[in-house]
Amino acid sequence: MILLETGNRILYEEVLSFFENQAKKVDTVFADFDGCKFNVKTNEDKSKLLVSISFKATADLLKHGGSNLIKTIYGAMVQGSAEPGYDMTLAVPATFNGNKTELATSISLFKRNLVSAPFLMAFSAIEAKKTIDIISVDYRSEETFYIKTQGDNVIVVFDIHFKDADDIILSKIFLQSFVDARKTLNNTPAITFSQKDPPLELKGVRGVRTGAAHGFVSFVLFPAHLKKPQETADLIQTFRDYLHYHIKCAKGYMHTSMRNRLMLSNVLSLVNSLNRIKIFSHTPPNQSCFSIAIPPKTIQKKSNLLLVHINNKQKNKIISQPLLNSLIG
Amino acid sequence: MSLAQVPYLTCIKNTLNAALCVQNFGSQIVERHNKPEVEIKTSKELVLTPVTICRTKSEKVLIETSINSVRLSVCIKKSDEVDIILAKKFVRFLVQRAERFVILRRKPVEGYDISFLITNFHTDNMFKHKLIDFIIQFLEDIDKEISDLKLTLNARGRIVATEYLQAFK
Amino acid sequence: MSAFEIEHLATCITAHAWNADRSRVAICPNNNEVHIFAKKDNSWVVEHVLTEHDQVVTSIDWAPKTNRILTASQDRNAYVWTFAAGQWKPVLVLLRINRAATHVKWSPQENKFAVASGAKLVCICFFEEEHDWWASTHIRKHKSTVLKVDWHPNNLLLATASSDFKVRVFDAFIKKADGRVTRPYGEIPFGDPIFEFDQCASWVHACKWSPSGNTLAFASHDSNLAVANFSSNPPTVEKIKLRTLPLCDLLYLTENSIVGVGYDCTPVLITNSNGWTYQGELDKPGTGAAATSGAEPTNARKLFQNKVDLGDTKTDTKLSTAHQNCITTIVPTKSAGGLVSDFSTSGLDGNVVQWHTKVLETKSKLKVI
Repeated sequence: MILLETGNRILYEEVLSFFENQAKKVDTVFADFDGCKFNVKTNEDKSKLLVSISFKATADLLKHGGSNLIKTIYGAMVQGSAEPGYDMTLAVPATFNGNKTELATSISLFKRNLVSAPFLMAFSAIEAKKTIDIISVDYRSEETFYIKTQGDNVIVVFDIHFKDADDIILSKIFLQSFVDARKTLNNTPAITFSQKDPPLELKGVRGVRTGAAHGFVSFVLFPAHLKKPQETADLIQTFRDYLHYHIKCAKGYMHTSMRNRLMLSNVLSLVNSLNRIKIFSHTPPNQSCFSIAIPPKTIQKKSNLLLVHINNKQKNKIISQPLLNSLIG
Repeated sequence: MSLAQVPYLTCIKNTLNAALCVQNFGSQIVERHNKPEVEIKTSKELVLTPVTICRTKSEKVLIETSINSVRLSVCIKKSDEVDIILAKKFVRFLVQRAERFVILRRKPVEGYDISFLITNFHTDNMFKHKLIDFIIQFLEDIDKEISDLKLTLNARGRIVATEYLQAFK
Repeated sequence: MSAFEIEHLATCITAHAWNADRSRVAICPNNNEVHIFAKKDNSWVVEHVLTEHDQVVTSIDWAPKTNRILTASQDRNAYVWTFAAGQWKPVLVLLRINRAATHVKWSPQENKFAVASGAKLVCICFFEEEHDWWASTHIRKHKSTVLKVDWHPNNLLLATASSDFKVRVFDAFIKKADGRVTRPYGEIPFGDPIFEFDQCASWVHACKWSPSGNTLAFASHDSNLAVANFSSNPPTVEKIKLRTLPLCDLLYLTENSIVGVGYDCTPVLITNSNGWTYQGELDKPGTGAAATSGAEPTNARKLFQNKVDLGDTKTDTKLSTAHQNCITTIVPTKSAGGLVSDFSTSGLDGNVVQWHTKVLETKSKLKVI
């Protein structure tokens, strides 16, 4: 599955293990997307599991429908004041005797629920034929997303900041693919993107960051999408991470592919061909200006799991071409 | 090799064939030293006029010849920003492994992506015609690799976008 | 009978020289040593290894009459080796130079020799009886490294080829060595060039006097071959442009035929009949001069062409020539009736090849005149 999950797996497991082994003391800190930090810890008498979240956007989100939504979902579990250093805390009582898996799932979706709040609010406003003011959520140190209603539609604009210049170019390819892919698919949100300058939808909004490293992606969500509000909200809120995840994957792929092709086939065979073009003679080979072409490590080819171990003895030999061919495949 | 490249690579081949006529030449500046004259350029009579072979504005090679060394600098085809990234990555990859193939110059000549320095010591030990073939093969491979990577990148973009947008249905 | 015999003696040979009866050959295997090979039964074995230099040996000359070997190296030194009690004994020559020695040559009478050097000068060396050493005097006047030297048969004139694009002719008269002789161009001050030839547009790789000394041929990196004729004063120079890669060394087979060797890895013939003309490659079955001259692509180039056109990617193909890399030296090994009937070449591929002129002529259908 190449779509990202919305829940947090660690959180899910922590909650379940709390119920399984209540005598255990727990204090774990872990992270989620968007600079979000979780802390799971048992209180002193181990009667409660405190799940705290530290998330830059919490204040913004609570203001825009977050507090209502969280209250509806988690009810009494919301602790009045958050643990020090965190923005919000849920207290899970050890005495809980309902469906524990459901509870764990629900708690693992803590962040997702929080972020969904403004979307759901906007969607329900459209249902009710109301308009709302533009909502801006400052959710990362350099990035913000905006939600705006326009007629029957909801417009979501992501301001995405790229730290690496290469990412801007790669993101362009991906975003262009989004625009292109839309042409062949029905019932998808309209997508536009612009580099450097914010789109017209954000006209008049204060504090919009601009610059070469900023990309703006706007989604126009049509009423059809609003019929499944939670699914749509889930997809939209993972968009930024989804994009970045695939940029990273693409870079990783490029790297390994260069490595495989260059190191195994290209450079190696190039170096090998350099070795072969060396003039062989009956004089001892230690005078040659080339030594070894292959690192004395294990060479592995993933596809057919061919493993060749080149030991130290072989290190100074030129590996024969048939062997290389089988390596390269 | 794509058909369009043939005249370009043939031209490089023939030029290299003429340029790689180098000989052992002890430095006439520094006592008991032997340095590639094309790099140090201390005696202008020992350096020949450099040759640039261009296919397009961005795709070109510079061949500088001296009495005991030849420097070949390559500018890889860069038709768009993606090509630039890929070329940059590719070159960095090679340069970091320069010691593995001796004729690679660790730092490219200014304005070029990658440089080779071939001295008389290389031609002493290697067959010249194979050395030239090696360089031509390299030029071919680098182009092929970059266009392959670009294709897979675009394919990935398409899949990623389709998958995401389909989830809205 | 084959046109040549190949002996692969080392990985790479920078220079080679034969003794008087051609039973031994001295080569430098591209390092600081000189190996002397002798023929035992049917193979060449190393008889002596001369190790006195500490950088690559650039040139070897073996005096036929006095049986002395002269070696020069990039370590700035030259040695004269004499054979006594089964050993080669070196004597250091007082060159007084501070750059590489590039080429050495015994004078025809073997009473002196010339050493070309990277110090932009040529040393004329002679034996000083009173001190019992080889002393030298310097000919400066060069603006770059001197690459080659060659003695005129009269034992007095010396031609030098330099990387400053010029060929010069000097009177290398040394009173202590030569005594009272008639000098061909009169009392010219020592070290002043008599003639300076600037026909070359690049560094000059080789210069050679003809057997009679009437002409001087020189070849440069711009693939030019020029022949200066000294029958008139000043000499007339005839220049021909070759379609081959540059020539590195030359040999007069007769007064009117020159064999050139170089980066094309094969000997080529240039002859004079009312003007010097390129005849073609000697080691190639030919249909005569007309078909092979000029436009014929070199073997190496043909090979590349094949690869481009036919996608032939076999990297193990050999060149069709006897030598697989640049030929650096050509020396005569046998002369009969004013014709060099056998000659040998050595190259960077480590081969020493002995060629037979008559067989080559038949094979290539070229005529030595």
